[in-house]
Amino acid sequence: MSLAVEEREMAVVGSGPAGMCAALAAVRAGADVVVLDENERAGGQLTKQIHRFFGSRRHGAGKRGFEIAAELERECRGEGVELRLSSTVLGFFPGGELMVEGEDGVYVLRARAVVMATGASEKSLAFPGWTLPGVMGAGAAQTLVNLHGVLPGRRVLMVGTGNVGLIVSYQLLQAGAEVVGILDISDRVGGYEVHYRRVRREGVPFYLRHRVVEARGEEGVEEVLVEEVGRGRGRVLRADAICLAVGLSPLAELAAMRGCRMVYSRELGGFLPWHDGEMRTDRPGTYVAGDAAGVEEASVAMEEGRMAGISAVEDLGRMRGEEAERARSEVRRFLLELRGGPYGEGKLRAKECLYCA
Amino acid sequence: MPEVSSSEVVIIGGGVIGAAIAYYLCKEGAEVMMVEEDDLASGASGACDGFVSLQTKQPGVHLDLARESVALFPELAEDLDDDIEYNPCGGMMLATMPEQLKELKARAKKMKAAGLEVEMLTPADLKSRLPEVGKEIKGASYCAQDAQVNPIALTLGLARKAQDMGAIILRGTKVENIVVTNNRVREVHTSSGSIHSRRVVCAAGTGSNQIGKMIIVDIPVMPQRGQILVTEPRERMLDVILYGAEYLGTKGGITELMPRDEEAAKLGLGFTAEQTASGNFLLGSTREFAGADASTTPEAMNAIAKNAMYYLPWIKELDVIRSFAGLRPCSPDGLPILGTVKGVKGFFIATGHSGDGICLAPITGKLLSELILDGETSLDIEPFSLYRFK
Amino acid sequence: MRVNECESMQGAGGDPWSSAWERAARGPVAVVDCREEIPCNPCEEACARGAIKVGEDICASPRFDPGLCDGCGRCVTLCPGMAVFLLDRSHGKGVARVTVPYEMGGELLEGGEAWAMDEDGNALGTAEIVKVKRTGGRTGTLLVTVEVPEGWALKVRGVRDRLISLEAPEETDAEQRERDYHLCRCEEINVSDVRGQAGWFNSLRALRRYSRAGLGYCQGRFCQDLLRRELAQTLHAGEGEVGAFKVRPPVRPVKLGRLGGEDA
Repeated sequence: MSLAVEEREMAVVGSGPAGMCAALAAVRAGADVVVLDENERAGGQLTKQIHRFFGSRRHGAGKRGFEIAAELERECRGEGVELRLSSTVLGFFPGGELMVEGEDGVYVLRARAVVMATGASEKSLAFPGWTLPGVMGAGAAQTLVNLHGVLPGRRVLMVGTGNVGLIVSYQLLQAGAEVVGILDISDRVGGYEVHYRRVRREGVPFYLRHRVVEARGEEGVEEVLVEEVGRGRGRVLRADAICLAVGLSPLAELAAMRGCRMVYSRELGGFLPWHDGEMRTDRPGTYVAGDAAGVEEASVAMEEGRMAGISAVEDLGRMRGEEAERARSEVRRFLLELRGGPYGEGKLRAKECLYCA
Repeated sequence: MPEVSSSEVVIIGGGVIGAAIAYYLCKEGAEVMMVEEDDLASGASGACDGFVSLQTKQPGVHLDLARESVALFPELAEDLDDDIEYNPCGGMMLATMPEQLKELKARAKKMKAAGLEVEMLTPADLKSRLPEVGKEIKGASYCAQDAQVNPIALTLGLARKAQDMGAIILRGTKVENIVVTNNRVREVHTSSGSIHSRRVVCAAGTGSNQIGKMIIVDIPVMPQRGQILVTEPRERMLDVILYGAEYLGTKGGITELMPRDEEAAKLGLGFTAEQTASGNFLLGSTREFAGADASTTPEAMNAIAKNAMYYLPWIKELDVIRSFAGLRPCSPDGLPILGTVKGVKGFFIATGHSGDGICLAPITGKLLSELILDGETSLDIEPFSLYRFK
Repeated sequence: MRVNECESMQGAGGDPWSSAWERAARGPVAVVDCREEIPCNPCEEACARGAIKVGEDICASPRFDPGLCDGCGRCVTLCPGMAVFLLDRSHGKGVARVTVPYEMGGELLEGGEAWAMDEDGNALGTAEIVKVKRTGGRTGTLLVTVEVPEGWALKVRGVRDRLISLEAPEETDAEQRERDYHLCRCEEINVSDVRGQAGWFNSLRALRRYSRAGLGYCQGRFCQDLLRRELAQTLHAGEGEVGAFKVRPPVRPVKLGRLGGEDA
């Protein structure tokens, strides 16, 4: 083969909170770890999150996402994790090899343990006019605003009242856009109440029980016809951008390619690789963590990353069973805490169903 | 489906062969049920290129069968409601080494003798017909009757037309057993009930061994993997199907034409390229015996890409967006297995097309329909009998 | 509506303002207006005096002891939900000072004026800005203290440098003309294509194989989700039942030359 082949002990795909925490847990047990990420900077979604985080201090709560990313990156580099950025994993083959496109070309990486921490992708929504310029995912809009300083539009309609929709609406306001409304098909706001109130306080109208009928415009979105579900009464909102915050799906294509058993969970965002409570998939030496293992919060991703890292080093023979179990039981406790309360309950149940499936 | 049903003919397999047999049987007014374990074109028929190729066939019965088949494509393109993207664009076989060129010339002569027009092209001829080719290319043989088709559209088109004519298609239905009493097929047990039938056709591709075992007949078919790369779509740039001369080595076993590169030889790599109606380039292909594993491999993806660049240097600028692999049902001699089975009346075989299934599907369908309904065929199929191997 | 429900929760849990009201007569005090059980506890660690307690279960609502609070405002800065305010009634009769977190940019200067906003984004009126405290960071939160009539003290939840009046949307009868639209942009497969052939498209894989939906440059990254939802609806099946596309490498487009081993 004219492709170079590199042998490593452990590879982590994705340098978000889950990936970096997995790498840290493993490197601290003496493993040789390389983290691959297609982006130029480490941190995954954290890099564009300028709001303060929830959760506990342990997970950087009260800090802003990009600060947490920088801290994790510093720790990783300090502990000897190799962070290989601008490196896209093209394939994860049934034999366990990764095909990677780096800056210098394509190569094959063979690792005895692979953690897939590939995150999630934004779900979309189709309606007449959705292909017009100006319609985009809320996460994409967040990248534009927070990383590139570009507004997706001057007058934005947000679709979806989950935390992402609420937070991105707030950040659009911060960046100087007008949010002409936040719409949801449901009759209740999906996200945390504090996020709702932050946006509400700024006078943003909420259209609950509403749907987008169509977006109109010539070269891009100019106006949006929305309708109250079941009432047939429509409103025309003048907007030049529509941001869709209608949920995330685990980015699990590598797992599927590897031949991992895939399961569907509505609560966790869609298809994802089956895994046990210790983040092992059904393929040897193959682990999953973070949103790729079911969409949850960044703090959960960090704990799942640690869990995957611990299980990997145990399987690599770098950590004794009892020690690994002790470490895992601590992680388990944190996970249980994070999945407490009315919001976490559904995720907890879905995860427990999954472990037994 | 009711738990017990009946049909004049049951076809096992929803690939291009099964669909073609169903189509030709229905045209004759037969009552047909087609049973497919997974989905139409879910096997080799949905994971191959669209070559309808004559100049790669061995002169003799193989070429004769292929020519009869190719002659049927224009009317199929007319008769089927789906657009099968049939394009009689011609095919070129490229030689990169003097000995390959010599071999191609000798072959062209043999083909001509057998009645197939194959002409030799000089590098200058090539230049006028192809966008920039690799500097190693010494010449090519050209056959105007080579063509391309969309294999999935062909399979689906045949099946849908058969359905319109009354065929019943059972997808997601697995054949569990075939009941034979008094040396005659009586019944097919499936995962969704039994079908009474006195005529059963095995068109199960790589699954044919399993079906054969149900009536205690050995159908010697081996899965042979072929990997293909797919590029991003582009405006029409290539209106001809292309092969490298080493394709004849890896496919036909002509040792003089085997690839020089050791790894390429191991993968059975023979260059093929076509641009489909949707604009994508399909670049192939390997011939590997890897069991039932239909995944693509880093080695083959790399080797195919490298090989394609050698023949068509400009192609390296295109993005590869996908790869896929199909398992061709290969017979020991690379020719299809067509005909009846001794001692089991009403059982017919149409399998083992060894990578020629798309090309040979129309004639296979027509001949099997004749065999099933009339007991005789318009073309002698004795050379394709199961018993030639014994 | 969610708001009503929240108000009822607030009623059940006690009014967070009333506990601080008396204490505010002696100087600034925090008002922890956190009404929902979410996994969050930075407020607890923000308070050096132990006035805010969340405890082991980080989903529990914070318990606040106004007696221990010295009005330092750290919790106002650090609450990710911006749900903590300061109230100060020690500056004379008839007025109250309210300190709120502010992250909107714009011109807010000490001695100037700001609009005082209520919970629903309605302007209560203008108020004098008595203090602006910067807390650092890329999008550092400002702590803005405004002096307002005492009657507003219970209502002010935010401040603004200017008012934006939203244009009222035009009301219409929602036209029920169904327009067709793409689900897969690359291959131009429409909703009608999916609905029209549901008999053949009995799974997402079949849909892709037969229609080419999802076979374009994006490899289904943008359309798989839309196609799955539409197909599931058409077949009256669950999204999990219609399945997923088979994934083939490369998962991202790659130049053929690079795959063939060329360096950049």
